[in-house]
Amino acid sequence: MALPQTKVDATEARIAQYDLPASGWSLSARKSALARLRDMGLPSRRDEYWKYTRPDTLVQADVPPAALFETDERPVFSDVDRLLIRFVDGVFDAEGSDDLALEGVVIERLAEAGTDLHWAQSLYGQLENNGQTPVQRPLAALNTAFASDGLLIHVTKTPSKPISISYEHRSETSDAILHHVVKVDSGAEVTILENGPAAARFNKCMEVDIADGATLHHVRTQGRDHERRAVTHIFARLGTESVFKSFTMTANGVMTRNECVIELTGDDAAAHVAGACVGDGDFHHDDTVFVTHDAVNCESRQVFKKVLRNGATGVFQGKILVKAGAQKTDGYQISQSLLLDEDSQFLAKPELEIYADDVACSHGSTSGAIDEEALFYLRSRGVPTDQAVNLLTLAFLAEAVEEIEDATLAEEITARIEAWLIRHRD
Amino acid sequence: MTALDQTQVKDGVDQETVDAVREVSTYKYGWETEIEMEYAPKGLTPDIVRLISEKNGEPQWMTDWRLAAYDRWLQKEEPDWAMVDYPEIDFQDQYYYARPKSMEVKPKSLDEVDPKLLATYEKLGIPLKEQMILAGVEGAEDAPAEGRKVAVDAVFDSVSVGTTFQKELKKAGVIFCSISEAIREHPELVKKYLGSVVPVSDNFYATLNSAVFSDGSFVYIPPGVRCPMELSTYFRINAENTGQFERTLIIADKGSYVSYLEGCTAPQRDTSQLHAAVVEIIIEEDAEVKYSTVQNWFPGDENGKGGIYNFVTKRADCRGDRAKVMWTQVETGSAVTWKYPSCILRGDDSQGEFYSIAITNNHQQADTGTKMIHLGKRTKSRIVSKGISAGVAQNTYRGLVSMHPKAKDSRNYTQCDSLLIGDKCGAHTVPYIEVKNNSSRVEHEATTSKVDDEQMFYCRQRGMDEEEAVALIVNGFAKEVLQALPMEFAMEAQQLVAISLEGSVG
Amino acid sequence: MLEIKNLHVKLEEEDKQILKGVDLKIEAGKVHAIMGPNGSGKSTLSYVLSGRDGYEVTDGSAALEGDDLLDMEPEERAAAGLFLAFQYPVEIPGVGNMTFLRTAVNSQRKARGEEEMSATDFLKLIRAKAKDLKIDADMLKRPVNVGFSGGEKKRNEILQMAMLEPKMCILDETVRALMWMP
Repeated sequence: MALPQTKVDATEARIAQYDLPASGWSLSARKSALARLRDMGLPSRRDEYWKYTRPDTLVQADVPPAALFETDERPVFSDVDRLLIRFVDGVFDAEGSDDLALEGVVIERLAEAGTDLHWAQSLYGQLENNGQTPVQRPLAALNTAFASDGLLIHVTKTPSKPISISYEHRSETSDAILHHVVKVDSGAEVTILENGPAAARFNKCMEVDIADGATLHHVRTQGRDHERRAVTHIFARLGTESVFKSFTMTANGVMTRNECVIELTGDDAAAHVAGACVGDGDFHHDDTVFVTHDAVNCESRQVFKKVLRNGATGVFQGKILVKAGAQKTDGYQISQSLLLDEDSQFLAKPELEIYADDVACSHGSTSGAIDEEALFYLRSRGVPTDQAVNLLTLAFLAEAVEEIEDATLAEEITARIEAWLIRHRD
Repeated sequence: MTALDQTQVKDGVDQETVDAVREVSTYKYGWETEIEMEYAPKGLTPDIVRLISEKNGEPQWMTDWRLAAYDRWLQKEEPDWAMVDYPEIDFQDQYYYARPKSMEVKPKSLDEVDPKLLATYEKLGIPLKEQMILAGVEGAEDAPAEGRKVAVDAVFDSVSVGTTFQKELKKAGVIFCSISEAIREHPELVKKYLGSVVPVSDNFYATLNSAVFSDGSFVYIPPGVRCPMELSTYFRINAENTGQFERTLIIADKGSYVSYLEGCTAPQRDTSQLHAAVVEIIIEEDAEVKYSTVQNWFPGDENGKGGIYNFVTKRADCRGDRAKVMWTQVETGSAVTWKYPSCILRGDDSQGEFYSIAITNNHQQADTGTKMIHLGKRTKSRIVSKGISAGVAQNTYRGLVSMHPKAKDSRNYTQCDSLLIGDKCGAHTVPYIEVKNNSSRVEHEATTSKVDDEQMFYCRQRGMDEEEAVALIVNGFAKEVLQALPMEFAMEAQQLVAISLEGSVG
Repeated sequence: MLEIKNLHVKLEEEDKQILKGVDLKIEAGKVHAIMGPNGSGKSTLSYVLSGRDGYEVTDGSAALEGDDLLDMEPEERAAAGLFLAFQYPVEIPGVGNMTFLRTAVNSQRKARGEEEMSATDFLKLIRAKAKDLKIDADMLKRPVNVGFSGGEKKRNEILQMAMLEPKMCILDETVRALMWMP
């Protein structure tokens, strides 16, 4: 079907801003991504998959400016023993980064990966392409075509510390596109941390290939710059008995769309995706998750919690697809919002699509205000209202935060949420 | 030449063939009534719309209303978002009007109705006589043994053949008649309410229906009246290649109450048939309407041949404060079902409920659910959906719960459970949840599983065979919905559950 | 009555032999107790006799009144007169206890070529039996085993036994959770 002309125009206007690299091993993948981007067109508000989130500002050619956020708070994960890699407005910051050497891991930059055959060639743009059906994700195709840099991380053995990618935002009009590829070899276990607002507008894609028996922990926070905009994609492919656990905390941001596309291709694999977000005012936060079970006896969990106030909007679109033959699937999905005042809203579309019979799949979704009885109970025991609300809010978010396996990291996230709640008291 | 002159009589189908097919099938209602029919020419044109209007003896305003709908329909596209897959429908290859010749002159009373028609309904178990219907359901030991009165409007292809208990209902002030009669006899009510809940251009099928609906039922319950008996419409598609487009309009005035039942069957045929109905319900202050459906259109054979394409728009508008509506549906038939009985909760403290069992077996596809639109304060809604899928069937729950900013302190509870029988079918859940105020509480739960092995073994150890055990467990799974049905329907529905699942195990 | 010869059983899914040559002869009118530590295969034996999936008989035989049990479907064994009182009776939400029992009784009658019991006769019988067993009417109306206490579940098993009048009963750990007995 021919695309509407407005869509073609918007797509071409955006494409015109970028150039494909002249050469390099990723060039063919970039060219085919560009072709599929032209076929799909960038999203518009009329697309079903963007029913609850207006894609305009993520699509338009001009970057909506975003003021910098001043804070004296120490960046998250500062106390973690880690390998630090820093990007400023999407540009690699060699001075701010550690030496990219870590035993058991080979880390390279996409921008420097050269023309020779590269291991990442079999993944770059490939998992993204797989993730384009049955639902189109044009902004991910845009990313594959025009990513300026990114990291190629090959984990061969379990490293001694986490790899921490920190994104800084220093220009009010920066428009960054980064694309990471992560490959975890059989039996290895690695933790990847991400933090920071990255740019005025950030488009990030991470393709993840987790081999048989491998484990990837992913914990990220998205930075407190309120006016920033971000669209991120994770495309993960899981082998037999592999584990992928991803947690995201979002506080502030006028526009965040986090898509997570997971394919369980090996038996007995487990994927957990979780998110906790706290938003105020014109905050708009969208979690869009698509988990495909294509193997036997796999487990998936989606746990998303949103605390919204002063007119903030939370969106959740989650799907569990169980293909024919994916027996013994255990699929769970919960999306909940806590609306702290009248004007905030929660829009959800939690879906199940199931073609195998021996499965146990469930989803739940709730939305409501703070539990008045619980609040009264706490107050009757002497806890001031503000504090009681914060306690109950933290309790509400706990199920998502508990998905972080590392206790120290979970504690730090909880502390950050608490600090946010205290600062954003009326 | 006017369209009227082109009417034709079609040859009856060989009765032996029909009987032979009937023998091998589990669909009990697959036989055909051999009766002389009158058809409008195939296809849809403004002339056909005028013809239908003329046949019904409608006033000009109604003809104009239909023609306007026809114009809108030409501009509309068939929706494709449902999880159903069927060959393209040629809307010009359908008959839009078919009536038994004997109905050319409208019978004045039931005694004058063609005996063949009366026999048809008798055979369907819906005798068009003013008699008690005996209650008899599971747990009958607790049920009162007395009979209950049910008034029936019987619609055969395009026309209503008769309505029972009209006199007794009239005494209570209740109007229960065919919609064509209502257009002639009660134009002020029809003008006021028709299209006020489902606008003419609501969706492709509703627009089509608005242009070509031929008959259906009309109900008006005056203020403060509790309808003295249950009202029921029984739809029968008999003619081949003929679409049925019925239109139902129910108005429950202030403080009134009515329970309305709807049943449907069709003969077994190789070619698929179209059914596109519209039901509008208006519920004023403190009024309550219960609408129950047992939909048992021919589902197609076990190879997916034939069957009814069922595209239905049903909507209730709780206009007054404390208005209540309850939709209960048992969907076992049709090759394709596309149906979302909805509630607009406009009045403060109004309530909407939706109870649904959808069973798909063999090649059936169902995409069904509800919309709960909360506009008024302290409005409540409850959704209980039980989907059962077997064979190579696809079964989808699709629903919307919307809490508008002004619908303060409202509540919704949704429970969607799916059961899969066999590894070649599918069960899907597609809920939309939109909450735009914080004093409302929305809860949605859904599960998908298969018939539990432990339960199966337990039943079989006690002596039941596999099919009996499945039927028992599925009935238990669907209990909450079955309980919401009026008693005489609950019995039928329970048996239907078992029949619909025949051949699904082993 | 029941004759088990050299019965060898392994789990279908894993290669684990559970019963290694059981020989047992049970005569009518006598009560037999099979004792042994946890995991010695007591429940397995009762499941294999009643035909539960998941077990593979690798050798031996079991016959009830001369008829080969192992060849029959579970419901055929039940109709032949074998009753298993479950260690953990299964809950079946939505299915009334009474409906369940009536379906079971009539299925067995049908299988034996007997006439089905009328609703009234059934009602009379179950009320009498329930009374004997001190089971209140409420328990008959509730869904099968749902929300029953451990003791109620066991009593319900015994009620079913009384209604189905089997020839041979296997009571799996009946004393466990039997709090109601004096």
